[in-house]
Amino acid sequence: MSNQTANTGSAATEERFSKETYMWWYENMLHMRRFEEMSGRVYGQQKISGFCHLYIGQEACAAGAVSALKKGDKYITAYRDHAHPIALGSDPKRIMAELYGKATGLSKGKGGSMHIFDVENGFYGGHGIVGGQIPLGVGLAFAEQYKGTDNLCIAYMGDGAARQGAVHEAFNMAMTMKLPIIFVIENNGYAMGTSVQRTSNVIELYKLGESYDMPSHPVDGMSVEEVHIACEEAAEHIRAGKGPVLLEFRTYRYKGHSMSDPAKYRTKEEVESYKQKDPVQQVKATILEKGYATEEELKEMDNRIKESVKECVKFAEESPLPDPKEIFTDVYAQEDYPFVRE
Amino acid sequence: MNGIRPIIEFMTFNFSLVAIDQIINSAAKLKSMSGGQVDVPIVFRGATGNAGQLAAQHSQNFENWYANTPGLKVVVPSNPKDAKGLLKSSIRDNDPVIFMESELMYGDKGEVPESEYLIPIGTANVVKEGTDITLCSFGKMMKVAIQAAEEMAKEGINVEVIDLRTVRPIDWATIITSVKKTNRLVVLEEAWPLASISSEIAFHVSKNAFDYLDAPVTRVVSEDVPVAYAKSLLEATVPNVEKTVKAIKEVLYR
Ligand SMILES: Cc1ncc(C[n+]2csc(CCOP(=O)(O)OP(=O)(O)O)c2C)c(N)n1
Ligand SMILES: [Mg+2]
Repeated sequence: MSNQTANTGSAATEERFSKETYMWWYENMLHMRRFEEMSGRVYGQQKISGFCHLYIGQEACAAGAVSALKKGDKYITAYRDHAHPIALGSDPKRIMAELYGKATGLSKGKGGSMHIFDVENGFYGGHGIVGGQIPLGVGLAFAEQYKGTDNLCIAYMGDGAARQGAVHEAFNMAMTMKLPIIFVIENNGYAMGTSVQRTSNVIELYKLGESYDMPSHPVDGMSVEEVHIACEEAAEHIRAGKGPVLLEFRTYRYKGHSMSDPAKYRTKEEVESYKQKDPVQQVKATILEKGYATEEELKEMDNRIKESVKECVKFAEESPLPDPKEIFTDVYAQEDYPFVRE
Repeated sequence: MNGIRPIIEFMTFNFSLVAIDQIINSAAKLKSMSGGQVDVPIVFRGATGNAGQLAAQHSQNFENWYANTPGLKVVVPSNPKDAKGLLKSSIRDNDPVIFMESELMYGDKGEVPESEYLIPIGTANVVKEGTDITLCSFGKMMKVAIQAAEEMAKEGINVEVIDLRTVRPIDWATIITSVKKTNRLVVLEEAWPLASISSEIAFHVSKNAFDYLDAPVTRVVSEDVPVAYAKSLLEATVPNVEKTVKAIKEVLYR
């Protein structure tokens, strides 16, 4: 498994990936970045309500997995869920419309920021109860095993979620049944305002898997190459029928936990030190260095992305709110379910 | 059960579900299962109910869930003054108490006496006396109840407003006395309809004050669906003043 502290930019690592891969990573992660910047902006303008958790800083954790895995694999995560569907090819207009609570949103405006779903593209949401998505991920993996496919599930959780009881039951069950699942702990250092150090004596989170005899590895989550390599190796292990793998992506969120977080629990210097390892900038540097594109071409790409994100906002703002009657749809499969009515 | 009085804070009661085994299977049962050998003087406090566009997993009312369980007491204050008196009583109580607040009320301001005072668990408060109809509610919904009563006053209808303050045990005497006076009852509650506090009240009143009723008991509750994110869906789902006024008029045949 890849070295935890491997500095990206090592020649061998770079050789492993093609120009196309680098360009895809860059475009994708920049897209996530610009989308989230816009989400933050329109939230600030009170065009979006409720909670809004941004992915800025963590982009490599989603992009590196999607480039390493294959179609048919299932993704599930918590409420910090705008970026994964972007990497998976969801229509970003419909993600933005979901944030706005519009009928054209991916979840028809019923889920909002925390509950983006795009099952067609393999994205099983967007879950709000910390750790709650992990047993679901185990269920997704069980179904793949039961149906005899070679698909796997990749289930993301935060460092805070890693402390949840249900997560440990899920680890144990998945290992016992050798289920096809990659557990990812996106360790961004904090669960809201609580640092990893304050939640447990075990602060090397990948070690949590070892008590279940699960192959468990720390990964530099600021490096999309390292994330890709770790996921590729995990997938190989899993598709060979050897059961789950736990990956700890060491990453950082630049913004507050949600939009209402003044982030007083950490220093400016700490945030800056991670920005020095920015996943988007790292890929950009490699692209320029390798001559895959010029500064100018990348600038053009950025402008194109910014325009497309503006289009998302326009689409969301022009879309209609769901009809109030819609509260009675999508609750049961049974179409004439007899709701209690006053 | 080992001589201390813990106070557990849930950020919201939506998250209490990951600890509900300890609440229902342990806290609520220990005294009885042990034949009275242990007391469980513990308070679980936190926010209940909808708090804006937070979608289905963050917008739930568990008052009736917990109130269904023998062994627990369930307190739902509606204003700062009551919150202090009721919290003190809850902490001093020798049984497990579920103490349910609201994110939307944490910023509320109101007169709170600095002196020591207790509000006993299980006593309702008649916050406004009236003669034409009884409107019974609790917690955050009390604001809606009071506004609805004010609306009705403009039309010359004198609503008696009861704040239950506690939903286990329920102060039946206060409700029945009021219904015997006004002969009409509307219950306003934020939870879903099936097996709710309002169902229980409607049953109790029809059993014990049937002959005093001039109209069927009516209620205003959330629609029988998960609370969706979109503003239009949220507004269509949860109780408000307009829906309450409509229910009151229905019971008054107006
Ligand atoms: C069971 C439960 N408890 C509390 C919360 C409130 N809450 C929402 S996010 C969060 C922090 C989780 O942090 P982490 O797992 O590290 O994920 P991150 O936000 O850093 O991505 C908490 C405590 C919740 N949603 N669910
Ligand atoms: Mg975290």
